[in-house]
Amino acid sequence: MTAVTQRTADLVAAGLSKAFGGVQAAESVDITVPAGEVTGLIGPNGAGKSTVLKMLSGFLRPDRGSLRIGDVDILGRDAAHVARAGVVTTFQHATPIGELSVLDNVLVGMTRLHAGGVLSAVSGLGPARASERAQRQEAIELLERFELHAIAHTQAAQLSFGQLRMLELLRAVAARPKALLLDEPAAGLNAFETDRMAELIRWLSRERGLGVLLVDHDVRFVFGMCASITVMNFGRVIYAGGAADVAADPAVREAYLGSGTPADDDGGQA
Amino acid sequence: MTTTITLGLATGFVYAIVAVGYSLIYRTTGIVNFAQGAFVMAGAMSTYWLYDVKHLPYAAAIVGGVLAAGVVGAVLWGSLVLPLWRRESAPYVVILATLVFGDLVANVAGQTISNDPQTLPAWIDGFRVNLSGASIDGQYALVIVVALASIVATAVALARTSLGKAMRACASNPRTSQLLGIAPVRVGALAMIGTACLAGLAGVVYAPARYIDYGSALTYGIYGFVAAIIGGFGSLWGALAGGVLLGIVTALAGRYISTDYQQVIAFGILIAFLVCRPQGILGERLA
Amino acid sequence: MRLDRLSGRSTRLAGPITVTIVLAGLWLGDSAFWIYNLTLVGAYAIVVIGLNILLGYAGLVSFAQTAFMAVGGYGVAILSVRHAVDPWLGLIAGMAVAAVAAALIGLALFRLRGHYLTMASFALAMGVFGYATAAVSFTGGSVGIAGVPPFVLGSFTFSDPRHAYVLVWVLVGLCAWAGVRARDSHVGRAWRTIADNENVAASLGLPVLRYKLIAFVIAAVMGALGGGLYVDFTSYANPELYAPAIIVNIFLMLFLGGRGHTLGPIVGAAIVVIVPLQIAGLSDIQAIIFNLALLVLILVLPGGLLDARSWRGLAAPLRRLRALGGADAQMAHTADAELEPAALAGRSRR
Repeated sequence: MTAVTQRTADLVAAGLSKAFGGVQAAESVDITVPAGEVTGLIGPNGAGKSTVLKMLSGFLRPDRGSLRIGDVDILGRDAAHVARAGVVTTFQHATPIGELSVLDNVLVGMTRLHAGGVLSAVSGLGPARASERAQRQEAIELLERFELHAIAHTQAAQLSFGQLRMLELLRAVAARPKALLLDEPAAGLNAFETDRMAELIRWLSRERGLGVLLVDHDVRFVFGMCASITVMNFGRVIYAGGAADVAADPAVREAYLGSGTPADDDGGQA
Repeated sequence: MTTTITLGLATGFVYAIVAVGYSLIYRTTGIVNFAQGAFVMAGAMSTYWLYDVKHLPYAAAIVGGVLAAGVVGAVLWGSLVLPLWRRESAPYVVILATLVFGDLVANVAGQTISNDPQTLPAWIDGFRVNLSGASIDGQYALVIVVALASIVATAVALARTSLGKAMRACASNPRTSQLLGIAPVRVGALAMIGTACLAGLAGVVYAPARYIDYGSALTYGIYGFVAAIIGGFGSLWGALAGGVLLGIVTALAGRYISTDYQQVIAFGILIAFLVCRPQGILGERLA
Repeated sequence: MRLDRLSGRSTRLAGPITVTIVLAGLWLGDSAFWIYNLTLVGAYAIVVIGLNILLGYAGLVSFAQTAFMAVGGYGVAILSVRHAVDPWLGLIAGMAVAAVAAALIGLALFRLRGHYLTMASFALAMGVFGYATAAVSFTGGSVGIAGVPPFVLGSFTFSDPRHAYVLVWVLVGLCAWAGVRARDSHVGRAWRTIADNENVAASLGLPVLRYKLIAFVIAAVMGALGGGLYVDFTSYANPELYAPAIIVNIFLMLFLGGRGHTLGPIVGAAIVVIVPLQIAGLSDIQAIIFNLALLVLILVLPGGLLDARSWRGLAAPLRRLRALGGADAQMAHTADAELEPAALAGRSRR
C-alpha cells in the first residue's frame, strides 16, 4: 500500500434546524464528527436522523445553523460542493453503477481528482493518461485492502448484496474524504459481513484518520464501534456523550421504549 | 384587429383542447403523447369522408368523425402505449412511438381519404357575428363555444364523477390509487380515448372555419404541445390559458410581423417558459 | 450488463468494420447510387454518434441534433457561397458556433429535468427549423442556398463522390473512435454515473452540470460536422434537411441501431436512409409501410437491432407460449396484472 497522506478535519455542525411545512424535522442539532474517530447517530424511526444526515451532506439546505469541515464553511452548499470539501456520504441502498465493473466503480469515486479534460482523455495527450494510470493503481490497492480485488473486473450488477455494500463504502473512500457519513452501512449484512464492515470502518478511522459518522438504528453495531454517540428523538438531540453511559440514560430509555429497548432493536431495514 | 384576435382565439381553443389531451394523458399515465394532433386531423378528415364521399347526413358525419378519432385513440392505446407502459419502457421510447404513430395516421389519412386540404360546410348557414364593426364568420364563435364547453365538461367530469376522481387519484399517486382498487390501465385508456374524441370534435368544428389536411396532425400536435407546456403540463385551466395565449400571439404575429415567423415565435415563447417558468402559467396541478 | 459486454464486442469490431465499409466503397465505385447514399448514411451516422454520447452514455434525451446540423450546414453554405470562404473553414466555423451555442443553451436547458428537457430540446429543433424557413435573407428561406462548393484537399476534390465517400467514412471512424475513448475514460464513467443516479454523482463531488455540458457540446459539434458534410456533399442547404421528420429520424436511427452500442448509430443511419429507398417501388404506401415497420421494431426490439437482450426477449414469449397450456396462460395473465402497481410507481418517480 502506498502511503497516502490524507489530510483530515473535524466536521462540526451547530444549531442545525429544518422544518417541513409545520413539522420541525430537526431543531438546533449540534453534532461533531472528530477526525480519527467513529461517532454514532442513533434514534428511533422518524427521529430526524436522515434529515440531519441530508443537511450534513448537502442534499438538504438547513433553515438555520452552522456547518464546517475544518476551516471550510459548507453551510448551504450543494452536495457536490460538500463532497469536494471532503464530506462524502454513502447511501442506505447500495448504489454502485451496475453496468460498470467493480474497478470502474471505484474509479468513479476518484473522478473528481482526475487530471485532464475530455480532450486529453480522448487523445491520450496531456495529463489524463498518467492520471488514469495512477488512479487505476490506487484503485487496485484499495480493492486489495477491501479484499475485492478478485472481482475487480466483474460487473457490479452481478455482485452479492454484501459485496455491493463494501463497494459502496470503497467508492466513497476512493473520493479521498476527510469525513465519511455512512447511512446504515451494516443493514442487511450477515454476521460475517458485519464484522468485516466494522473492521474496515475502524481501519479507516484509525489508520487513515477519517472522521466517520455512523447513522443507524442497529444499536448494537453502533455501540460496538463508537466512542461517542448522539441520540435523537422528535427532531432533537436527547443525548450526546460516551457510548458507555448511553444505555443508562433515562431520556434514551424513554425514547426507545415505544420501539423496543435499544438492545432489542436489530435495525432491520425500515 | 378584432378579426385577427377572434381567429387567434378560435385557433387557440383548438390548441387548448389538444393541450388538455397532453396534460390529462401525462397526468394519468406519465407519458407524453405526441400523436395528440393526429386525433384532430382524424376527426375532421373522417367527417369529410363520411359527408363528402359517403354522403351521410352532416350530423351523422360529425358524430362519426368524433368516434373515428376515439377509435384512433383506442388503437394507439391498445397497440402501442399499453404494451410499452406494461414493460416500463423509457419515457422517450413512448414519445418516439407516439411520434411515429402520429405520422402513420397522417399518412394513412393522406392515402385513403385525401391528399389535399379539405373543408367542411358551416354548421349554421350564413351565421355571422358582428363584433365592434367587424363581421366575423360565425363558425369561429361556434369553435369557441364548443371548445369551452368541452373543457368545462371535462373539468366537471373530473371533479364529480367517480371515474374522474379515479383519474385524479392516478395522477397524484398511481400506487395509492391501485390500493384503492382503481385500475390505472382502465383510467389511462379512458383518458386516451376521451381526449381523442375531444380533439376529434375540435377538428370537426374548426374545419368549416379554415381547412384541414393530413399534415395538420403534426401542426396541431406541435402547437398543442407548446400550449400544454405554457399552461404547465398538468392543469386544465393552464392548458386553456396556454392555448388561448398561443393562438392569439401567433395570429397577431402572423398578421403584423410575418406568417413565416409564427413558428419561431411560438417556440421562442415555449423555451422562455421552460427556462423561466417551467411550472407554466398556473403551476402544475390537475384541474 | 448489456452495455459492457456487448459494446465491448462492437467496440472491437468498429475499426475493422469501418475499414471494410471504406474499402467496399472502392469496390462499389461504379455504383453511383450506392456511393452517394452511403455517403449520406455516413454524414447522418456522425450526427447520431453524437446523440449516442449524449443519450447512450450520459442518459440525456435530446431531440436537438438537427438544430446543430443546421448550424453546420448553413455555416458551410452561407460562408462559402456568399462570402467565398473555403468550405473547410465554413465547416470549422459551424462546429465552433455549435459548440459555443450548445454550452450556452445547455446552461439553460440542464436546469430542466426529465420530460421537460426532452420537450425543450424538441422545441429548440422545431424553432431552428422554423427560423431556417422564415429568415429568407439569412438562410434563403425554403428555397435554400444552392451551389455550395466541394471541399478541396491538395489534389483531392471531394466533388468526386468516391472521394467524398472515403472522407465521410474516415470521419465516421474517427468520431466512433473518439466516442469509445471518451466512454472508457473518467469522463465516460462520470456520464454513466450521472445517467444512473445524479445524487450518487453529486455525493462523490462530481460537477454534474459540467459533465452534462461536455456531452452536449460534443454531440453538438458532431451534429454540426455531420450537417456540414451533408450540405457540402449535396451542395445544397435548405430547411427540409432539418424538418420535423428528420428530427424524428435522427432519434430513430439511434433507437433502431441500439443506444449505447458503438455501431448502433451506423446501423441505424443505414436502415433509416436505405430501407425507404429500397421500398420506393411501393411508392404511395411506402411511408405507411415504413411507419408500421418502425412501430413493430419499437415493440419487439426495444433495445435496438444490436441489443442481444432484446433478441432474447423476443424469443421468450415464444418459449412461454409453447410451455403454457390454457389454464396456465390464465394464471400468467393474473400475475401480469399484479405487477402493475410497482411498474406504475416506478414510472411516476421518473
